[in-house]
Amino acid sequence: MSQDKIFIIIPAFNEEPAIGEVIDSVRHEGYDDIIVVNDGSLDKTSQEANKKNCVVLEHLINRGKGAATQTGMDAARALGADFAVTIDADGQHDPKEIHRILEHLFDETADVTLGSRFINNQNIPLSRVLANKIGNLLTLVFYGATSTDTQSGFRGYNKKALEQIHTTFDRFEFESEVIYQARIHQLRTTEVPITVTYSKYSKDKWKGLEHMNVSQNLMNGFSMFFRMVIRSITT
Amino acid sequence: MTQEFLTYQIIILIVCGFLILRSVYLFIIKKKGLREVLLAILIWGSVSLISLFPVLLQDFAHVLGFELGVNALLVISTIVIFFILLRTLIRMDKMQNDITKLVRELALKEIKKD
Repeated sequence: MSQDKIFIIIPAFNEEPAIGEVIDSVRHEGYDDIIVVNDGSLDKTSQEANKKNCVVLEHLINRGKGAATQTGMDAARALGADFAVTIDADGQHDPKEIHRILEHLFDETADVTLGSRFINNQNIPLSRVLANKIGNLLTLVFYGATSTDTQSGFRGYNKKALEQIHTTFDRFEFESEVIYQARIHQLRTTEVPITVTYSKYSKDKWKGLEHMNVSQNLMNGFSMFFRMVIRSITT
Repeated sequence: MTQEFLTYQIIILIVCGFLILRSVYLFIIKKKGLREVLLAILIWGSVSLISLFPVLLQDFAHVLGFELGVNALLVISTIVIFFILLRTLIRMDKMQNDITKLVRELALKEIKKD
């Protein structure tokens, strides 16, 4: 296990205030191979990440979290990763729990680990709960797959999964697509409970959406549904 | 057997005639293909015919099982618009995908070089 190459992938868009701290906390847990995918940020996310001496990949224009995560996974594969863990750049995930994500991959009981915010009861804002419910429903309808948290960004992959999963959705639908692809490639998936911390910074990022959480989430859900319909016609 | 045309019919005829002539001109200067010109002639020719002889629309509606010509027109227009929209969205989706592939290739260029 100590010989294994473990890459931590952090897709980031406009995360200048948080990215440095997230990288430090990941490193503090003993993971040195970090890939930051700067997804066309308009602030100094890239410079902040570069200061921390990790691999920083640049999306010249913003393509969405799904696209950035897949770029990170492609990079990890190219760099010879045995395992990869994706983690959000706003600090909502606790790097101390990376080992929990990796456990099932190490003991070979799973190829993909899905971190779930909803296994243990936590104080999660209604807007996120609603977004997750919509995501769960769409994942079930379009892909026939279920999970308690289809929209979590805290996930782990072993080498086999990294080689076989190639998502095509650019935005948040990709989280569901991962579950679908894992299923069609007959990869074993498992869920592990994770804790999330919605810091002031993280909440502020969503502030504009909080007051219209229901309508915004329904709109996002609708556009997600529409993109999934289009894709199901074309593929 | 003379027929007096109403103002709207003359306007539609002029507009359609202009659009057909424009398509033919674009075909002559090789900016449009034969298929596109034939399609333009078919579409705008049909519009001209229907505006000149509205009874044709009524006959057509009866064939399709509609009572009123205007209902047939509305239903067919909705279906055509839906398909055009769908085709546009599918093309946009493919373009978005291609852009992502390009952006990703550029991002991974350094890693692949090593």
